Amino acid sequence: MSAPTFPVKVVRGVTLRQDPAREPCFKVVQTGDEMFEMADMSETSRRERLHRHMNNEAGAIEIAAQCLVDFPDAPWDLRMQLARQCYDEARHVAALLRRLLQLGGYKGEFPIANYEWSVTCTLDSLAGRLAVQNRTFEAGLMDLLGSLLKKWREIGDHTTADMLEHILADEVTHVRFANQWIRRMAQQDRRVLLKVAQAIRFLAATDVAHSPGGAAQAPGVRPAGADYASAGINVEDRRLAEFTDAEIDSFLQNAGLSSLVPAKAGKE
Amino acid sequence: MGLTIREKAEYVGTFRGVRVYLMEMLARWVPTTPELEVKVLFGRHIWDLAQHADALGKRAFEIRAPLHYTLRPSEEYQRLLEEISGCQGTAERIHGFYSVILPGLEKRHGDYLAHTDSLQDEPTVRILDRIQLDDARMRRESQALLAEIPLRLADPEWPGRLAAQDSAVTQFVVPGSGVTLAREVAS
Amino acid sequence: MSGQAELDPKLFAEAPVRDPRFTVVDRWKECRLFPDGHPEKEVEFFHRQMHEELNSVENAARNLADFPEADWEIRMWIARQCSDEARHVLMFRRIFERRGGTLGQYPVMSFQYRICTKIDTLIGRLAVQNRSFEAGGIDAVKVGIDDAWRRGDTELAELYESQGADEIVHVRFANEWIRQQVAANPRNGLRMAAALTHGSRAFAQVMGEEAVQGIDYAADQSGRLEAGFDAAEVKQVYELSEARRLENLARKRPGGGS
Repeated sequence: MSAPTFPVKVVRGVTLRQDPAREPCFKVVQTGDEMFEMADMSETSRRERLHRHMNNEAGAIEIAAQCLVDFPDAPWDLRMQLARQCYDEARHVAALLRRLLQLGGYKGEFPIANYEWSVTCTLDSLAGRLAVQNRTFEAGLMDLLGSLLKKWREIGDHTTADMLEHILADEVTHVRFANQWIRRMAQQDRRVLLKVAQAIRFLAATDVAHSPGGAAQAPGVRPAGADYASAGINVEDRRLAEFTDAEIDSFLQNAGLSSLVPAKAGKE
Repeated sequence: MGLTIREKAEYVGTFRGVRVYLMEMLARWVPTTPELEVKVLFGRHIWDLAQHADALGKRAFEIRAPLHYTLRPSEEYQRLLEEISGCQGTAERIHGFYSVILPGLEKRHGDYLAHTDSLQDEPTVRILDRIQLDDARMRRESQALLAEIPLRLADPEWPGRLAAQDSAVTQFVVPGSGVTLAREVAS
Repeated sequence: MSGQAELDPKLFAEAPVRDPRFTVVDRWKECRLFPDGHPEKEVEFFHRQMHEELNSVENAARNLADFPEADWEIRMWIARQCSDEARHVLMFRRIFERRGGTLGQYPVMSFQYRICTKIDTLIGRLAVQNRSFEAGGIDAVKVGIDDAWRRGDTELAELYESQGADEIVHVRFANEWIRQQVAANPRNGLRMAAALTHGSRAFAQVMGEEAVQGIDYAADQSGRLEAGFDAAEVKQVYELSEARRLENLARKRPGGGS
């Protein structure tokens, strides 16, 4: 990657883009162990999940917006999709904040991290950013939401579950357009694939640095975390988002679910 | 006398150029504005501006300019945009965009509508009508937000001065800037 | 009606309905055709052109009604065409009335509608209506624009510029869609060819030799390129139209013609 033209920070030896602006009420942390994540569904945990998700969606607006700023020469149709993504993510933030307030939470109640922004916006190619943000982080969110929906319904909070279902529908669209554009860009110039590979390698290295004892992630799989570790692969929505069958097979294998991968024709 | 097809294309191309600029301006502001609710406001309006630019870009092609024909406005107007774009304070950003730029554009749309033939150029008229409705909604949403969260201008006179500066801009479109019209390329 | 032999029902569909203000005739020579320089020549042309545009609204509307299974994109374009052609009706009515005309003052023809709605495929209708009639309009309107500017008739020049820009859009979307359809299934090319043959036979029956001999302009090459014809198609049309133009000019000279 070329030398950055933006303010940077160094976290555990990795140089990343400086955090985006946040209000003073927020406590911004840099590593997962400084967060306040809980595996259960207690009232505090519910508010923390919504609070964390809200900040991640704010980061998603910022990432899409920064792509519009940093890549003014990208094809207009792709810029339209990014602008649309800003709109979708903004609505997600508004919906999550509303729900957080309804459950008695407030802005700044828990620590937040801007990991996705810092990793994605350090990358100097649009294909790389789409591969990391839309195709990895957001695709990971699809998997996560697929399993979280059940948890919220099990505790009888259908309002939150319904909201998450709407968010999931939008995320499918974002992952799909990223998949379509990466494919299209790679058809025009195969060097784009190198940028994608470079971006994924950067993400993997950053994940290792940030998760002591954690392992690098496969392309399209979200870094490990309390929720992510237990989330299954959301096969149906990934197919809707136009991952190829081979890619889905790869995700399944990497997630330790290779028994679900269909046998190849001619092989029994 | 109304506008020739070439003049219409120059106006439409300039309106589009400004909408693209504003989309990018809000995009630049999203990560650098601290307030969550303001990020949400800008994030939603980025999409409105992109849709306006898209409709104008497609219309340009229908009036014999290249698809998504985009022109820079006059230097005078561009300077005003850049001054507002360079604001760091959240209140200044909100007032600059919603209380200065959008009303100024409404007036410029009105000037265009007063000069074009509303029948012959009805597709452009419809697009501008829709943009005006969206702009009015965007302004209402910004006012609702300002009523919800207290944001104070460092200099309360600043938007008024900028609005006066906007009104003093005598030229918006650069006449004859449409040197790349499709007809000339084709011939 | 004309009092002449009926048009061949194998080539022509039923005419669209009209209110009693209009007198509808079948053939070009039954129209009120004024010689060059006659004070009513221009007004009669605007009236006839207004009615041609009305036919175009009706054709596009029928395409929407008759082909509900067509792809949504092409249906959107056709719906847009309805709106554009309806505006053209109003534009020509306005200029016609401003210059002293009254609705129904002259006979009108519905040949475009009767030819196109006799064709049973969308590709055929678009090939005849958009790619032939409207593309011909692009050529004619270019001459009209230049002439109006030269005479200082700003109102008419602006009208023609707007109309011409819209017609280019209509021809372009038809060209693009036809190209896709033929690429997807070469038999669509045959359907289009059959429709064009039909259109040309029917057109000849309506217009006769007199109308064709009156044409003294060549194809608008740049307009046709913008409208999605390729360079070879434009060259071919231009050469044919130029030869026809020269022949007609020679015929008009004293002592010229056959």
